[in-house]
Amino acid sequence: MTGLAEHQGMEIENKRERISLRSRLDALQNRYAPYWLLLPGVAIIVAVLLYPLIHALYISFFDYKLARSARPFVGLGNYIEAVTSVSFGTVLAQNIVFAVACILVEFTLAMSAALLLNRKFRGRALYRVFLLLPMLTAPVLAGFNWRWIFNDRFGLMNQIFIAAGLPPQGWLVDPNLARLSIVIATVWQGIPFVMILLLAGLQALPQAPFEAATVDGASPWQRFSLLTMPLMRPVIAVALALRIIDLFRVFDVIYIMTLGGPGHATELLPFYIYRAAFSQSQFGLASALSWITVFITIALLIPLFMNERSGAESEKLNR
Amino acid sequence: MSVQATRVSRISWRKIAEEGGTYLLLSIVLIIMMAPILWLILTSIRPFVEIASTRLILVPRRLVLENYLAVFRDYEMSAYLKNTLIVCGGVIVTNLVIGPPAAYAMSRYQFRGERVVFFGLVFMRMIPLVAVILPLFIIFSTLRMLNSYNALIVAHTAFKLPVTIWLLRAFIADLPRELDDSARVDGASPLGVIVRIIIPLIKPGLAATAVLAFLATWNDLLVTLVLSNTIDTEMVALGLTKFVLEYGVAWGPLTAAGVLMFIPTVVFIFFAEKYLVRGLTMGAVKE
Amino acid sequence: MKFDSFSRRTFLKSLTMGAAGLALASCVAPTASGPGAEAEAEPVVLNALYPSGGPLWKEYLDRIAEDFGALQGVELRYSTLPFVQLMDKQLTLVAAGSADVDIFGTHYAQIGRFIEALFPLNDYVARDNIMGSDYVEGSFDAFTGNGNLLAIPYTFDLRALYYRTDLFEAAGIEAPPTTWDELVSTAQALNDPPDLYGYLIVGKGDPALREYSDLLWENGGDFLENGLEPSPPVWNQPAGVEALQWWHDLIYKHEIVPIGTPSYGWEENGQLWTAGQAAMSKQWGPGGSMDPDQSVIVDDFSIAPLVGNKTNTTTAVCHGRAINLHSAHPDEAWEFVKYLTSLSVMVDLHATIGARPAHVGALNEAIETAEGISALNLEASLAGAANGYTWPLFPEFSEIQPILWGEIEKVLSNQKSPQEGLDFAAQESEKILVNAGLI
Repeated sequence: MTGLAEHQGMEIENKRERISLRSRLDALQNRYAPYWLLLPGVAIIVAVLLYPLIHALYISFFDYKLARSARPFVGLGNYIEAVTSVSFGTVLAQNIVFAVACILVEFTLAMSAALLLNRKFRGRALYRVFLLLPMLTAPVLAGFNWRWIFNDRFGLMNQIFIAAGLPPQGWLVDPNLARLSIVIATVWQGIPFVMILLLAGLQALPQAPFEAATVDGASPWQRFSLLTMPLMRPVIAVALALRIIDLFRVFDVIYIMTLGGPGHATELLPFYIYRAAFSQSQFGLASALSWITVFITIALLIPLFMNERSGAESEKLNR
Repeated sequence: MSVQATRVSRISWRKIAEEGGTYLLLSIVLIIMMAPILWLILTSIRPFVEIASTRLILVPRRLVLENYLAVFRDYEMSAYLKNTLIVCGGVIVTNLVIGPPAAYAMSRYQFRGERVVFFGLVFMRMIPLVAVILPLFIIFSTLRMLNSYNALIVAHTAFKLPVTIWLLRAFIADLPRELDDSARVDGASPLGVIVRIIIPLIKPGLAATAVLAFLATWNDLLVTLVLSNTIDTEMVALGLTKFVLEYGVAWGPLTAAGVLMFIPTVVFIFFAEKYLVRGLTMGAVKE
Repeated sequence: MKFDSFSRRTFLKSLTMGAAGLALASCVAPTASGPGAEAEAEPVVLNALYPSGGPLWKEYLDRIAEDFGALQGVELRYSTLPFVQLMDKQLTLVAAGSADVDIFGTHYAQIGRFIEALFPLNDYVARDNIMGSDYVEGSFDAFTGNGNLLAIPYTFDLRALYYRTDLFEAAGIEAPPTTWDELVSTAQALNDPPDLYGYLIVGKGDPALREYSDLLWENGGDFLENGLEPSPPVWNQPAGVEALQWWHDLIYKHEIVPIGTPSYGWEENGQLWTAGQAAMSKQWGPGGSMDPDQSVIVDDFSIAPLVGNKTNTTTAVCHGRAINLHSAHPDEAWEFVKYLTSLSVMVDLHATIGARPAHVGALNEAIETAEGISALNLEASLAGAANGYTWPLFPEFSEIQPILWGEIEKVLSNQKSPQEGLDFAAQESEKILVNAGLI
């Protein structure tokens, strides 16, 4: 039996020792913890995404054709071939026009729908869920469904045209109509995505400025252009960035609907890469094209980022 | 409504007009957006003579379920669905197990190489998948893992993990640091903190992760196109392409299969729609 | 609800900076190693990949797999893909050195791409006394690359002119056309758009090139100066240009084919035919025409030999069955290929599906026993066999093909004139041939 004070003293001593031990362990743990916490995830990503990408980079420096067993080193040859070929310029231009067209339509319609959905009315949640459905359709399914709708003989579009006494159109045949068709199919899936983002942004807007503006007699359009749009900038920037990335990755819809045709009129970069790799068996060239595509996407995002940063700084100054 | 209507005040009339206008405009939008899906469903229940018609027949004159039967009888739809469900389940589990610790590390620790991991994850979200297909195929082939559920699960896990980690990181960043700091002072290990404190608090984030992992896996064509060789692992998106036959696209069965493929996504989204926004923006936009 | 500006900014920043850092970090060259093809103790499982057929094929292929399994104690599994996808898949498999699929479906059209990808069958053929003369003339040569036999012919593909007897009768037309001009005038007489068109023709991708082959040859032209040997392209000379112009005229001048023609492959062509959308069409076989679930013309059509113009030269080609170079079980795979292409199984193939066997014995037996449409199809299509021809089969020509069909699509969709399109294709192809040191 020991005295109470002594007991307490020992306890404190013990505790102190434990704490110092603990803190040393903690320090160790803290130093290495993030690494082993990240390890499984990073390992899988490196093995399945990064390694193949690096492998593609490696291949891109060789004349790697399956039809031949010789695979000579060509340095930047594939990159030069890709950039200087006529078809690449055409496809790049097509992809940019496609992306711009899709973004314009998507943002206009999505903003209108989001503004409507931002009002309070009964059944709003239901409208919202149903409007999301196109986005959830698998791109393969959307591609087949639109190919079916645009089918020149049995498709809904031409059935409507014939019923209206108009001549049936070659939706997937005329180069410009085919381009329109793939824009429609893509936009159909893109609108809900942009809409739900913009709606989230609208619902997060502070109410006070709007109330003040209403009191000051600002028209709805003035409120929209002078208040809503500037305040929505950050959300619009994120939505824009994500759409740009995805519009340069569109593959399934093209693969199912047009195979890039007629005569390459609807060919976009991913399908062009796919064709270089699998139809023409030029894996070196295809790998170079992949990396070029990655850098093009980044290049397109840079102005957005610069703009966004200056916006953020002016926001700070205003405060 | 009726109470409002009986009042003769100008403001309530305007309100009604506005509300009516909202309904009308939204209904028009809804009809246009839903039309392709409705047409898909209608095509799937039509007899062949109506499918192969140049004349518009809005409502099927005769409802047939033949296409749905054919999908299971003449094609391998049940195998496609089974494979897809198994792979989706696997991908959701791996993302939910691997994602939270990584996200926790990203949001709570400062460490060497943090920025590389940080930017690397976003970069992975933007690479064209076409670029990694061939090398990926070579890796799985070397490991003799082709045509296995494991290969499909591992590949899809990796494709989804960057988004998962970013997303959960945003959710964890919202939690007050004191929560887990106090637990750590009390001697809990990081993993213990994650399991006992963080996970219960980021359930919406986990739900968003699960929804996104499910959707991406369920809808994917490219991975299964490259990694599956037989009916043992072929997923439903690849199954759809098998309705393109030598002598014609079997539009009836194809649309029936499409409807069947679509149903699980719809069910899933009715339960999990509210978690979608943060997920789609990798956590950048909150709702 | 609020907007998290921090994560938004880092997000955008990361998008732009992430790649640059990684690109720099990724200067390590990886090493690739091929898979070891070690033998396994378990019972052998063979995997096969075929081009997609339809419900009829499924039944047949299931039965063949079962019968072969019972015979050899080998488990045979298979999968099917649409033709173009199938070729891409097989190429990917070979590129990765994969042994996951043992048996490939292949075709004249693509054999050039696979010369270094398929298992040479010469020794097996010699050992088992398989004679080239037992198969359709020239087919062994066509499937030979660098002196290696790469595939055994499976089906013999020829087209014939299918026409609607009911419509011909109603219009008082007694005989199907035999020349280009007759074809146009007959089609014009029966044309009734938008419900019925006089004729159907393909216009997209690989099928468009097959169609162009026919038209080019029928018009007295050829692809290369020296026929099938590597030599400068001549398809842009008048014979080829006229042929393409005639095709273009069918769509835009005579309007006897649907406006969607440049988007048609075999699928659309076959489907429109069975759906009763046209009075005449070239088809590879009856396909779904006799299946009441897919066809509205079951008893209303007949089959005639193809029309010609300056010549009657037509495409006569074979599907083949081959073995993956990397297969871990080439012996067992060969047993299966041998079984699949043997006399009795090929007789069965025709009896079950109506496909023309590439085995001459089986073909003769089919001719003797066939009845009805199947007999008509054999008779009409084989009428063209004597004038059968094919396109050049050396590897570089398979690189040229997509260029050529891309230009044909451009011409048919009014993006270029026939001369411009064909000239451009010739120019690009000449570069390929020169680079390969062939001309």
